[in-house]
Amino acid sequence: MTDIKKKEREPLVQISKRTDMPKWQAWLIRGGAVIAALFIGAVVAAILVDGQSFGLFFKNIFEGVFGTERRIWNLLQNGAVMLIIALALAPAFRMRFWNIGAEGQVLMGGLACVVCIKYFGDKVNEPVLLLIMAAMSIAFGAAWAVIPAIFKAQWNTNETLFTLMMNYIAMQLVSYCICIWVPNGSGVLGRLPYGHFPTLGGYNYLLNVLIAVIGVVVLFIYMRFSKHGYELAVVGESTNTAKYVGINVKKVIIRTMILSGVLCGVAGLVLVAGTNHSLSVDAVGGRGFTAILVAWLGKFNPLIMVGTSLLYVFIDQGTAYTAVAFQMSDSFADIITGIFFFLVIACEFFVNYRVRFRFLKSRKKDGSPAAPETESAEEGEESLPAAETEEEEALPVAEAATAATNEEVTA
Amino acid sequence: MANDRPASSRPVAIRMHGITKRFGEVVANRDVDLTVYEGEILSLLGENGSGKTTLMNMLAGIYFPDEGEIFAYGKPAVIRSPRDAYHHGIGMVHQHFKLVDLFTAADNIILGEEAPEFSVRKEAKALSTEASTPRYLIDNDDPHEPVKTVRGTDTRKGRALLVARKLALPLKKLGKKLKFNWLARNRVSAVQAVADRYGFDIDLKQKIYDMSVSEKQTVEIIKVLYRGANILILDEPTAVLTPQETEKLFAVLRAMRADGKSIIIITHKLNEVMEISDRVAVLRKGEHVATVNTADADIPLLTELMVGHKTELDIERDAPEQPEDRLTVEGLSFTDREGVKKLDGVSFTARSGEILGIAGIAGSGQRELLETIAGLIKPAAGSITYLPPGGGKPENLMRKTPEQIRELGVRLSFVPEDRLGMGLVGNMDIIDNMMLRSYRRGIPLILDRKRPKQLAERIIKELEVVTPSSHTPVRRLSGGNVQKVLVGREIAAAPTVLMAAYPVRGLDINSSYTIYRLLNEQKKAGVAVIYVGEDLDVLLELCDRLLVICDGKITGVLDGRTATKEQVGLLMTAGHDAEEADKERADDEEDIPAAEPLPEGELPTAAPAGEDEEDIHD
Amino acid sequence: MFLTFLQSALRMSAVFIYGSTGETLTEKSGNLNLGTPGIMCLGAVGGVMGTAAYIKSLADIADMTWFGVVIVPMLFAMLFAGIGGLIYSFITITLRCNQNVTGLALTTFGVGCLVFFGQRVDATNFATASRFITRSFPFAADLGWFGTVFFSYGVFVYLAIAIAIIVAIVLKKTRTGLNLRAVGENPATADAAGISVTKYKYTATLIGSMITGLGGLFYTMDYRGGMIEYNSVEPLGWLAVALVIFTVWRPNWGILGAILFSMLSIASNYLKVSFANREIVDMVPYLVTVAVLVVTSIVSRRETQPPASLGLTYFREER
Repeated sequence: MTDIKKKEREPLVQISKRTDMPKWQAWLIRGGAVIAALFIGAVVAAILVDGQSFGLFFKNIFEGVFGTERRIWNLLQNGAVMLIIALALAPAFRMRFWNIGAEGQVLMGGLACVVCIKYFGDKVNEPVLLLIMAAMSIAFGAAWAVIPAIFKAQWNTNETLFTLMMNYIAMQLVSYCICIWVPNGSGVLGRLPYGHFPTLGGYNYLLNVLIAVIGVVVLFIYMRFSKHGYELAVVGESTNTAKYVGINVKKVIIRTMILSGVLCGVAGLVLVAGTNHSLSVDAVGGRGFTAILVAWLGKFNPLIMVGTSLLYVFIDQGTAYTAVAFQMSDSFADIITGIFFFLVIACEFFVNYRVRFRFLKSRKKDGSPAAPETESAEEGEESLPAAETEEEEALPVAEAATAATNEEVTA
Repeated sequence: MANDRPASSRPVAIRMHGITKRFGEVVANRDVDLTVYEGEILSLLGENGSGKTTLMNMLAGIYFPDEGEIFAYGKPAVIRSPRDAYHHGIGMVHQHFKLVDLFTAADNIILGEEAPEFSVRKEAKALSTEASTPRYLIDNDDPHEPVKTVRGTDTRKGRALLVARKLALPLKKLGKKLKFNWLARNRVSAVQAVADRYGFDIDLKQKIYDMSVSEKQTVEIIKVLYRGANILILDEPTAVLTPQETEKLFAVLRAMRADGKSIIIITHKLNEVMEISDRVAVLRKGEHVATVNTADADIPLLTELMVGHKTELDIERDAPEQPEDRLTVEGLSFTDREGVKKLDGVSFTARSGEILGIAGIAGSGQRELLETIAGLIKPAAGSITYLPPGGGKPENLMRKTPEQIRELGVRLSFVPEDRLGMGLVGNMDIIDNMMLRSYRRGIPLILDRKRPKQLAERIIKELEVVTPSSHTPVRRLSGGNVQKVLVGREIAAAPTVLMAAYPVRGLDINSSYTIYRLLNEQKKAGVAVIYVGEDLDVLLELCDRLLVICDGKITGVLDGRTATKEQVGLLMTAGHDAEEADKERADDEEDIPAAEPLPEGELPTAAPAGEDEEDIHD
Repeated sequence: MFLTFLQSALRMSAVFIYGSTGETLTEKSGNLNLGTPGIMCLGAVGGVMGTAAYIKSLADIADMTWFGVVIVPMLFAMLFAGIGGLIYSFITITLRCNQNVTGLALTTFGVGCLVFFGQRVDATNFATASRFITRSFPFAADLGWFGTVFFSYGVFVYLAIAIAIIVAIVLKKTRTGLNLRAVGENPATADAAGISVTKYKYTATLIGSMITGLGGLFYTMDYRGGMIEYNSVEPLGWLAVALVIFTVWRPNWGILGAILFSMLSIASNYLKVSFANREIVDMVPYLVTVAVLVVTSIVSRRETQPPASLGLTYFREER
């Protein structure tokens, strides 16, 4: 009797790890998630406004992003800032260093710029000032990033929480400085007269975009073709392997975080000198956090990240415009981007795991013991190539073999 | 250890019948029958990979058998999880303890304990029955009917009381649940009672992380007993214990046996088998070979049953050409974080142009030995000296990091046991894995992928690696191909010393031969090859000299050409009483390849032929 | 002056108590929920929507009762925060996706929801509602300073302390807590001992989120007197996450830590310092948290470490 009970208790859905989904299939799933997110956004809009807005939602999104030249430039400009921050995070995350302190690092970079403008603005000419600003912002960003890295390397201090706290310390520092610079207590730093990026070919934001493009190329080369990039990838994949081939793990952690901070500093420079020409506590406005998601979605590959950051800005800007068109608060955009992120994060499950439904399997079992596995119907997956079965069988052997011996983690 | 009653007259506790378990292509257990009686200690004996642990994991609910049935106390038992196993009274102490470090012993033991069942419906029924059962009342005031029949339900008050008590039951249930849920200060006492019953001497309020390995094991055993197990499975319990601790454990096991419990102990140590068990079941290559009464067996017989006959493998072996000393290790000692002495005064010399085999039970210190030489572990004492070819200046490798060793110009290659966790990066493609060793070469800062690509393609072609392309992540390759990539890379570094830990584990026969061929080629090229293996047949056919390690000590150095399997088997298990062998070795140290560590008399002479194998029990 | 400061700090501490208690419970199950600020925002959304719904349901504003104005928003806050927790749990536990990115997405979502719904809600009678919520013991005024310090708060302050104490007791003194801690420390061991890892993770995260959500409700409806603050809830949520580390995952210490944090975060209002130096004073909680983080990692005592499997997803077949 108990046996029957046990059988009933057996889970109906069996989940197993998969290692080899063809890339195009994985991207198909992710693309499906993006479309699903937009669809849900439209439904939400329809509920909040009226039935008609369902179709208008899509129209408005495109209009909001591509409607005028100015909007396209906004897309590029916002995309550039987002991209630079995401680029900064990519090497750290590739190394599995959870740097959620980009917010603070960018802010420190921006602060450095303002400090330069305040103290040298009227003393040196613009190009020199811009150079000093660049150097200072890079130094500040790097310093802010390297502090948690040193503690991580030396004592394995939890970097997620450390970098998070560093964000708020940076914000307080900025508030402090603004208070000093603006004695009237309004807390608003006006438009800074010096240290603006030059307009290239009549376009205000062209330099921002160029910096981002250069960043992509440089970082792509760094991650893909440099020895440093290779080392940080090995450290991220397995510190055991890194030690085995004689990589100095501590050094790599600190070096990579300096790079991360440098790029964050550049982002701060672009924000202050290229876009805002001012600084406030919310200047970064959560982009340091969002960039994590953007970089993660781009698999920390600089080239793919160009796409993901533009996609994010597209959705953010498009839904913000839609919200205005529907006379809603522009925080509607935050809700839709939140949903967008939920879906694209969750869809990774279908990339990494295979779902089999037991009850279907057992029904087929009567025919032949090797009945084909039932795939999850989600996102229209196809049955997998034969190579997979081979792979699956090869794995447990190795597992069983390792399980049979003493596996003790190397000191 | 004779028992007062023959085992077969006792009731059967567990019967496994026709158990088969496959992992993909590999059959871990084939058609195994096993019977365990109440109140006996059964040893499960077999070499590494003979399927002992797999078989027991099926009793403990970790794996589920592909074929066959299990009966617990005569009833068919379907065991799908550890919880099911507990319900059938089966508990297993795994080799790797499953304990929460941060908790006290007592809390670990009561972890996951289920509340005793309390069914409101059943209790209500019991109350009704109790109330309606007639009771006899003697009423002295009534001379006619002094004895009266009274039912609780006769009076209105009684009926009301019954209803009230029934209504209170859910509350009672809740109360019981809350009470059970409360971690009372005296929760230790219930556990202590179990511990006392079997004479365990342990402080249950101590945290696990403060405990020694043997104490942790004790906690695991108490846990299993506390959860009501009558059948205890211990997976190599003595592997981590000192002789004194082993004695203590055995005393406890005997006490449990006297209490009527059945105990299955997985081990390869023959002397312990003889000492503790009533019967011995021997597994070889996943199959059940024989079950004998310990009283009828002796060590040579068991060795014979365990290792079987020498099988010819036809691995080529040329005589070493002008061997010269390449690597000398002296008195190497290392104690791991848990306080277990993994290496204990290990000394040996590896020579160029020969394959030095290291034989031993898994976990005897082979891995630590190789990792110490490779610079991954910092040893407590000893010395490691590298003597470069052509009589250059000897280099001290002691406590050098892999980086420093490389900078000294020592070309040391190492094929680690953990291929995808250490030797290779699973998520990187073959080319990038090729670079792990060589990426520092070439112009500074910029990676050169051209040469690694050529190398990858060469290895794929020469070693017949089955892969879609050189851009395939290595984790997608099968075990054999992964190993070819790893060995190929290590050899490509043109080493002077090549260390390989279990390079053929989990590989099919063809891949294994490829690896043997590669090692032989290296040997011919004058490389000092150190090969850690588990299959004695291979070790004896491949290696020129054979180092036997047991509990972190070298118990013998044998000539690969003349040594017998029995000799090696005895040295592998002779752990603690290997003093004599040690002395013998000390005399023969270094230069006599045919060191003969055992006195003639101890050689297993009475080994019966395989055809005489007898399954006494079945 | 000092009395007002103390009273204000104690009142403010409820936000941190809710936040850190909820997050501690969640983290004890091995889930590092960086969505805590978002969940707090969702709680605030639930609170204001519940209040608005309650006020709307009344025929006359004078019919407002203490019970209704406490219970309805509370249920709404727990519902909204619970939905946030459910999204997080489903993605990280069932779908086994990355906890950190999921949490960050939840924060984006929650903050967006607060601004969006906060602006749409009709908040005209919120001040009245808040007066009911903050109603304290009638005898508080008679007891002088003693009454001011201990009895002058609304129900949600006492509820916060009660919840923190209950959670502390459950974690430390019950089998449920023992099992939960085992799940967070070593899910494989817990699984082998017959504990349902998934069930414990879900329950802890959901209840934890609801508690965190109450923090958002309290902050808006009680501390801010019904004024919907859009930008200050998120930093409070992050401070609550920091507080969890600061109190080394102990809800009972969390009460004291919360009081300290709230003192530090409002200290600048009471100290006679310049505007600029205020910002420095406001930095102290973060600096202190960093110091604790560094010290615990250097000292590396077992008891002060995060739950060992924090941030990792558990998949049985992956041993």
